[in-house]
Amino acid sequence: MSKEIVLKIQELYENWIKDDMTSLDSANIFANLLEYVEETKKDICGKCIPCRDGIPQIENIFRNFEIEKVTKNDLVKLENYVENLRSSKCSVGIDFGKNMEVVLRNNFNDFYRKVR
Amino acid sequence: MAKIILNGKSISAKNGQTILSVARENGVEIPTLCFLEEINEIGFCRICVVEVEGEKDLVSACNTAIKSGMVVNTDSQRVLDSRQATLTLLAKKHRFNCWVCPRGDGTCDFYNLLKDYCVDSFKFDPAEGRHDCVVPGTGIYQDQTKCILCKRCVAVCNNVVTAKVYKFRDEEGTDPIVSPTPRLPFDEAGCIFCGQCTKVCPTGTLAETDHIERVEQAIRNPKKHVIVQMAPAIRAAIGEPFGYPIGTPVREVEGKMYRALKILGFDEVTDTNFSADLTIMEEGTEFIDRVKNSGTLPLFTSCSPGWVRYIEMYRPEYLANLSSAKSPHMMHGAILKNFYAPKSKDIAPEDVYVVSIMPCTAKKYEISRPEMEQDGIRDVDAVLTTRELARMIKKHGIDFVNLEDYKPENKFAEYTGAGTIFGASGGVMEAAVRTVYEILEGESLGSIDLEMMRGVEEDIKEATLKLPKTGLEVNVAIVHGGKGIKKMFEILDKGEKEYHFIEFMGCPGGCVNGGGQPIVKEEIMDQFKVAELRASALYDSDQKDTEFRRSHLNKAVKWTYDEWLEKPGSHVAHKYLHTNYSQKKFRKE
Repeated sequence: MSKEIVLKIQELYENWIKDDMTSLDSANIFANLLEYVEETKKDICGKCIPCRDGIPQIENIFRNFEIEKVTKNDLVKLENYVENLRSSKCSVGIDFGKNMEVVLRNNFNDFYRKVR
Repeated sequence: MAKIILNGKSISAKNGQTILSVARENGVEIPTLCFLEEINEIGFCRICVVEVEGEKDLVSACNTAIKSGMVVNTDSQRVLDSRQATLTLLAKKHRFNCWVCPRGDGTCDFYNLLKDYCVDSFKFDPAEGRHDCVVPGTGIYQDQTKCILCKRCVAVCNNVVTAKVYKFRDEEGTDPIVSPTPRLPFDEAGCIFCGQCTKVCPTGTLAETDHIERVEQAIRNPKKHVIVQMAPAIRAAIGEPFGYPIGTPVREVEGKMYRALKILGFDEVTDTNFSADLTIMEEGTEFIDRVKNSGTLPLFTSCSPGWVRYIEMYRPEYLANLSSAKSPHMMHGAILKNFYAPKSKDIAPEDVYVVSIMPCTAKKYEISRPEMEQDGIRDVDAVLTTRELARMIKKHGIDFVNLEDYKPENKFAEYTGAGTIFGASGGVMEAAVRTVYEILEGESLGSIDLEMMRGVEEDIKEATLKLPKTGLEVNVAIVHGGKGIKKMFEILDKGEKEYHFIEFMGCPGGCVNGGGQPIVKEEIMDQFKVAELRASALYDSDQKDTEFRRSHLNKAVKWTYDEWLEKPGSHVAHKYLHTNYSQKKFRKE
C-alpha cells in the first residue's frame, strides 16, 4: 500500500506539470499522506533543516488534520514548511515539497474544510 | 573573470568563487549558521539560500559557484520567507533559556538571526530541546537541548584540532545527534579540551565548564584568602567584550583589568606573567641539562595543557621528550599556597584559594589532574576563562571602560617582557632563547626580537640558533594547532630532521587564540588574523612596557629562588614546580 501511494503522489506532480487536473481521493487523503510521509522519512539523511525538521512537522500537522484538530494557523504553517522544502539540499526534500505543493493546491478544499 | 548580477547590480568576480564570497566582497550580507571558510562548507543549514534566475529551487550561497551571466537575488521575499521558516524549524528544537546561557551575552548567532528575521515565538512554541542530555567534561560540556546540528564542531575537531572527538550520528535521519562517544564524558572520549569547538558553536551548546559560581562562593567565604592570577594572553583580549578593538595595546586595558579584579573582591591580585618567567628558568635549565648530559631531545614544552593531553593520549611514546615543568599558572598556585601565604602572610595553605584567569578551557581540566597538588593541597582551585571574567565584570555592574588603572603591589605580579609574550605562538621559545643563550654564552643576544619565531601563517616555524662560544647549533621549532602537531610528529617519526627544542601549543595561534578567549564571528575576522592582532599587542607591550625583557632579570623571580626555591632545577623546585606526565586512555567508537 505504502509504495502505491508514493507512486501515486509522484504521478500527481508529473501530471500536474502536463497541466492535467490532478487530485488525491478525498476519502482517505490524510491517511494516504501520512503513509507517504512515513515512506519518505526512510530516505531522510538528517543533514539539511527544511527536510529533516520540516517533514516531521508536516507529519504532525497531517495528524492533526486526521483527527480534525487544526486551526487556520496550522494551515499557514503547513504552507510555509512545504514551500520551504524548495530550499532543501537534495531531491528527497525537494521532491516531497513539490508533490505536497500539488496536493495543497488541488485538494485545498479537503484541507480548508477541516480548519476550525 | 565572470560577470554576474547581484541584487540588480552588475559585478565582476573570479571564476569558481562561491556566491557567498562574491556577496561578502561586495558588501552584501548573507547570513550563515553552519559555514566556516575552508573548514565547513557543507550547505547544511540552508540559511544562506538565495534565488538564482532560471533555477526553480533555492540554492545555498556558501557552496554554489558563480557562473557568468548568473542573476542572483539574496533578499527577495521568497528568500526571506525561506530563512524565516528554516529558523522557525530550528527554534522548535531549541531550549530557550538564554538568560542563563553562556552565549546570552549577544554572541549567539542563532538568537541574533531569530531577531533579524522576526521569528515570533507563537510560530515555534513550545520549543523543546533536540535531545535532553548534557555531556559533561572538566573543561567543556555539551548541552544537546540547544544543538542545531550545524556540524561546525565536528569540522573544527576533525580538520583543525585533528582529535576527531565528535561524530554526526545520522542513523535516525529525522533525529540525528552530534556527540562524542555516547554515554561517555568528554574526559573519557579523547577530547583535549582545547575549546576551539566552543568558539565556533553558533549557539550555547558547547561551552566552558562554569567556574563562576565556585569563585563567587570562595570570595564570599570570609575564611578563604582568595588570590587571583591572570595569564599573559588575557590582557590581549579582555578589552574586546567591552568594545575595545581587537589588538588594543596592553597598556590601555591591563590596569583596568587589575582594578576590576580588586572590585570583584579578590583579596590579592597577582600575575601569571611572573611564573611565565619562572617557567623559563625551570624549562631552560632542564633544556641545558639535557643538552649537557645527553638527555632525551628534542625537549618539548609543557605549558599548553591541551597539547599535553594530546601527547598523553595520542603519542605517549614521546612522553620522555616532554618537559617535566608544570604550566606557569600551576607553578604560580603552588608557590602562592606553599610559600607565599604561609611564610609571608602567615596564612595556612588550606585557607588560600587560588583562581586563574586563563584564555584556555583545558586549564580547567589541568587543575583537576590528580598530580597537581602537594600534601592534599590543590595547586589551583578554579579557572575562569576570559569570557567568564568578562561575564562576571558585567554581572557586577563594573564600568570597565571608565575604571582607573591599578597596579598590584604584590611581588608575584612583577614580570618581564619575556613573560608577556608567552601568550603568542613562538613566545615561549623566544623567551627561552633569550635566557638560554645568555646562560650558555655568558653574553646577551644581539637582538632579542626574534622575528622568525613570530607569526601564525605557518603551523610549523623553524630556526637555528648558533652558539659560537659553546660551539652548539641548536635547531628549534614552534608548532601550533592540531594540524601542525600532527605534521611535526610525521617529521619526528621519519627522523627527517634533528631538533633540540620544540614549542608546542594546542591552539592555532597559541594562547591568544585559546578556547576561552572572546568570540569573534568568522565573517568579521578570520581566526588567524585575530591571533595575529592579539599577539602584536603582546609584542608591543614586551618592547615598550617593561623594564626588563629577559626572564632571568626578573627580580621577583630571583628573590623567590633566593628565599625559597634555592636555584632552578633544585630539589625544592622539582617538588613544587615539576610533575610527571603519563599515558591517558580514552574510548572512541
